[in-house]
Amino acid sequence: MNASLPDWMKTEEAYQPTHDADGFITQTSLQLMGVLARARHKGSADVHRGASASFKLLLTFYLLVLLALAQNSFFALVVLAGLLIRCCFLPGKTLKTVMGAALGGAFLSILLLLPSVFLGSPKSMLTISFKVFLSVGLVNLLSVTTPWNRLTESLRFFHVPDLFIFTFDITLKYIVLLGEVCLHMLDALRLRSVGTNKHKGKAFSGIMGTAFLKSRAMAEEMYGAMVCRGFEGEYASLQKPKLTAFDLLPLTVMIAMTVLFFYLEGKI
Amino acid sequence: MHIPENYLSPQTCAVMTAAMIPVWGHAVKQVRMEISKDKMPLLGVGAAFSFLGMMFNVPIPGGSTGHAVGGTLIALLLGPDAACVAVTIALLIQAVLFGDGGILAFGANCFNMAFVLPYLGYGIYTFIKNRSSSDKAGYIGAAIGSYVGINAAALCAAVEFGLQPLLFHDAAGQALYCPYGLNLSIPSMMVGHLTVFGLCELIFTTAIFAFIQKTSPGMLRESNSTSKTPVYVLIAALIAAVPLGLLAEGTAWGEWGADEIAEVVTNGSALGYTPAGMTSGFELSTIFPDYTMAGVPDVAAYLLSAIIGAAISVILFRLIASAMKTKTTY
Repeated sequence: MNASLPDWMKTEEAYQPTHDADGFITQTSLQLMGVLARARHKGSADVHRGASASFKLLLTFYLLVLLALAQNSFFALVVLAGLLIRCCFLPGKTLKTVMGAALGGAFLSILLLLPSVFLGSPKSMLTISFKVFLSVGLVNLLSVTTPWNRLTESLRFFHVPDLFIFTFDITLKYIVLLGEVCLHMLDALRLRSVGTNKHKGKAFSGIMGTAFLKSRAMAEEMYGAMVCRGFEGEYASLQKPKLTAFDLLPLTVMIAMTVLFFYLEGKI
Repeated sequence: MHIPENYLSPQTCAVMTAAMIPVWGHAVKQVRMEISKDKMPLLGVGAAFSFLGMMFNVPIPGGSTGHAVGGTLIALLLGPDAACVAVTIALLIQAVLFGDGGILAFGANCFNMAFVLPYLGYGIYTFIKNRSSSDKAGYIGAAIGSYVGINAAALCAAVEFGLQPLLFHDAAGQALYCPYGLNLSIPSMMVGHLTVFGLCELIFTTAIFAFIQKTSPGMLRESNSTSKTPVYVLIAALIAAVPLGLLAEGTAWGEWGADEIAEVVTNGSALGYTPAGMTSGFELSTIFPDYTMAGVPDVAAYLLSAIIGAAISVILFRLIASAMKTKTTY
């Protein structure tokens, strides 16, 4: 049998794929991976240490309200001292998240309020930006020190309707699942692309469309699974919130800040 | 020892800042090489110590006050380069947030307290420690090093003050900036530092150095462990004791405000005028001018300043550490 290679296989090829500006895929992938890493980390955080999420949430919202109402800058500085002390004990990465977000918020508000300096009230720019720094810092501190599933659970404590908690919880979980689907598709697109892809828009809409179809399928599957396990429309928490010694700290802080607030505002 | 705004001419400030640039460059380079990512937050702890040490004002007869700096202490714990960086940050926080030490005079203040003090103090400490193998030699070295270090820094500050009236005065012979010549500035600064403030620095340095060596060797740069709990407890205790610094009521020599300098009595006569450079000079308004706030008791404002200043020092170096890449050796 005459077994020889066909001619086209014998010629040497030096194929150089044309360079493609695929920064869009890289950026999207990195962004998605960042969000997923944070979301997964949230799910696995140690849930048994420190004060319960309900009290932390309550304290954060309470401080935000007092901070917004406070006329005296000393009150804001006391909140700053508390926030900074807590931040001293955060691991480097989470500290970076909290400070980055708080400084970013303050910077944005300085930019937005810059005209007020030229209109003659530079003090209001500083006060508002400082309060924005504190508020964003406090919310981020809560977010990085409390797992998300504990936060949704703590909403029950405040008698938020079941349907709302259910939707919120599922949203958080499905951000991770759908994010993974998108990431895999972006990887696949990248691996299969050689040279210049002139139809990036088409590829992008394809990914979004597929993600949407997948989400519908997943929602149906989950609902089916829930019904099979006896779901009747009531979203019940298995754990009853218990008061622990750790919860005394946020309670004490709340009482102390209330007294300080009314003292400084001249109401006592 | 914090030189306020407008006590030094802008030219002097420029020269001193220019002198500090290579020092900062060298210190940062050495710290990046010597201090690992895990140890970097300790610089913040060091800066917090220095910041708090400077809040304990001690009075001396004659109405003046002074304080410890703690530069030698940080040099003993983390090395002189780390001490230079840490004291610089503590001085920066003081200048920007609390108006303690001028922004223009920042370079001069750093030259005295972040360069002369820690490097000289550490040099003397190693010189004495290497001469003997006993444990006591370390403590004696720390004591002498810190004492000589702070006195050398005070002498530098006195010379910087004293040169101003020689170099910068108007046609009538009135000084534009600091009005006291070398014949007044050197004795005035050195009397306090050779006696009470030098002793304060000595006690502050040796006591904390001995405490940290015993309870928290993780702080030391040669050690591998990073247990820092006793150090944080010590910082909390220092913060709680900070209002003691308010007991000293006078103003430190050379730190009078533009409103009080005309009445300062030296050698039996008041100065009688406010130097022109001080009335028309640059002044930054800070959130806590001199660690006080209008309408708030001094103790509360002082305590809050201590907490915020110490916490910012710690957070700053934790952020720097988290931005550093982990070194891998193969």
